Amino acid sequence: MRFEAIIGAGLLLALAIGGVTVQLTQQVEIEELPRDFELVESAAAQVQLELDRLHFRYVDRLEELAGELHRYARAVFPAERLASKLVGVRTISLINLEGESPNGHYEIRIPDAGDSVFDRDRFPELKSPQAPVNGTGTPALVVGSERFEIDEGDVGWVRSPGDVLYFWKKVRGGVISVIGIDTIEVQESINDWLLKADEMGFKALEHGYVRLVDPRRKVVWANGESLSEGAAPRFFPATSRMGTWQIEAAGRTKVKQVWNLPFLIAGVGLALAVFLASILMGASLRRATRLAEQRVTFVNRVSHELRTPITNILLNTDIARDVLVEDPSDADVHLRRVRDETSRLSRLVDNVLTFSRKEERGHRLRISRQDPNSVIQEVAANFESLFELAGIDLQIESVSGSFVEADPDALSQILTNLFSNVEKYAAAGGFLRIETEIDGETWILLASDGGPGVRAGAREKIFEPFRRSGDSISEGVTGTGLGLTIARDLAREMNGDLSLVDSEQGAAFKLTLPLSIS
Amino acid sequence: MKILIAEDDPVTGDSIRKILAMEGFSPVLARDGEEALKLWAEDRPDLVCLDIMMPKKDGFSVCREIRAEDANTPVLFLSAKNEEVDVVVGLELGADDFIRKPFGKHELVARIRRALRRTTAKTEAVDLFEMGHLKVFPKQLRATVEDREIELTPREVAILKVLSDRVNEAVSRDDLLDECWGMDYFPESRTLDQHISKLRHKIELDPESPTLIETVRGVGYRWRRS
Repeated sequence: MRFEAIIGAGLLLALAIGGVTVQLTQQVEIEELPRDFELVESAAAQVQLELDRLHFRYVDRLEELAGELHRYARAVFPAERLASKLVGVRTISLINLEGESPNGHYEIRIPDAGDSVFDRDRFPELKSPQAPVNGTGTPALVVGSERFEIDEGDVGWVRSPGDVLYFWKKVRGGVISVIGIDTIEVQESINDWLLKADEMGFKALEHGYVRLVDPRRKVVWANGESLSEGAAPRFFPATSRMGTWQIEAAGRTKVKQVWNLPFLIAGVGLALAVFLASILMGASLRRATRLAEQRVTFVNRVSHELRTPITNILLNTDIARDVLVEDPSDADVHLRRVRDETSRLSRLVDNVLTFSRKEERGHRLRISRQDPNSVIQEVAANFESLFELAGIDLQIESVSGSFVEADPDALSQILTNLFSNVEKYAAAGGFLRIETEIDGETWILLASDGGPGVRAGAREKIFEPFRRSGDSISEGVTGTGLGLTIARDLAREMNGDLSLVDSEQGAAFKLTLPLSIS
Repeated sequence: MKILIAEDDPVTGDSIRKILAMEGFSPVLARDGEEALKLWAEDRPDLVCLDIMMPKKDGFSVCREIRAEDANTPVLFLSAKNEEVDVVVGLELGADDFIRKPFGKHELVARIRRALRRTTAKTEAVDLFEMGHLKVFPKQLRATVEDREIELTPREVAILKVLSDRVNEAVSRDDLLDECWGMDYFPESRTLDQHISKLRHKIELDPESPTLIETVRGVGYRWRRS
């Protein structure tokens, strides 16, 4: 899996955990702001007072009407005109209590706008007491199938289904006036009145949800505010015979998001941990992959590097065999090449071994007093025929008589790698110049060539393992990318150094080693 | 038969040149891709051997440029880059073969020979000459004896060609050496005898009593048409 994929998956998982945490820990808390319900209460009391006042007035008017009706007992038209002046009146009946016969009995319907709930054909009938209870029976009014006792008093109410109310009054011995009332019309009238009477009160109510509804839950007045979320209204009723009006009021609320802090911290922490873990995993995977790739590349390079000297060994062995009888001196040339190529193989193997040994446990050098010139000569001899074939002129100018503290094998390996680089990368320059000098307690070797040099950006990179001055195939030359890494490591372990120094032409390497003073 | 070798490793390049020269080819050696293209344009070789990793211009690019102008000259890659992808790229570019390092002389020569044979068979009308029971196909470096295939080196073809052109005539050893090895090369007489002996084993029905290459004592060799 790729690095990006792991981090992407980690990020998704972290986001999911974070999202779930937020969902789980988020709570909505509704806080009801304080409101002064006393004001509402007093408004409701005002309504109640008003309802009571209206009720008494209305009853007065009804009683008046009932009395008048009796006066106009035989004159229907004036009675009707009288009745129509009082709101809500729909029927008027005059009933003789004494006799069951309808003598002296009349019934009048009062016209209305035509939308009344009132069933104008339902006039009350008066029924004699059936079986007198305890010898004192009372008569009863019957409307439809309902039967209502007329009790001892002079006035009374009969509530019939369908918002119809009957008011009765004994007007004279044996005669009773019954007035049928459309309560809805009366309620509407009361509503109008209450609105007009508003100066009394509830417009001054504090802000918040307030409204007055009539018995049919029709809104008579509202202050325009709606019920806020989560608020529960309180009800303040005012009752009358025409029904119950009520003021509904609620305080404002505030919706608060609250968090379960420990849970939130734990969840977000977990999400972060998952994300970080994915980054770490991805990074370590990438590191491992890069290392593995480098090793594979290294193995490929090593095997690639092995193939060239092996090919040369095979070809030159074949040539030597062919010419052996006929031209032994030519055979000798080719056998020498076989030997050189074997040395090349051996150098490569040395470098690979040195590198992997160092990777495992570091070099083990045996440092002693050495004549560096003899090592230089030895390496130069090894490269003689190779340089000759490649057209490289080896020029050595060294100070003699000085000794260095070094491991001869390590010094030889450093020089071999420098020589080998010139053969591989700088043969076109046609020369390798080796100069040595003494500076204080330091022995300095300068190896310069006439090749293409090192690109400015690669001056330090060439010392990193698996790097070469160029990696494209058109660079032509191959290599394991270990030579300079090993050479510098060895130089430093001998308390010296290897670096690339500025030069007018080609590349120049400076090797320093401590002088041996004795 | 001219062969261009482009190889930056000096030892490999020189060894291949030597081997091909010994086989009777005329090799030219380039040390980088640009030089290879220059020599190709100048010499128009019969076959090109290209290393892949070379300075200045890699073998793939050289192959591409050669193929843009010439679809027929056989191109062989010689490379230590042995991954399949490199082989595939090389062949896709129109190379005729891919010789993986390490290789020895025999594999190299056999593959070069095969590539030459395939190309000439494909592109040219059959060009042959006959010597008795032997049919020689010089461009293809082969001959047949009664349907038996024989592989020949360019030098062997040259020897047969000289003998065939001068039929019934005794050709001197010097003439043969000049014609088949070149004036600048001084092989010992023994070399010629060794080659003739090897050639007889290839082409004669009975090498002990040769009918195609007779020895003319004190002079050289002769083919007598029967």
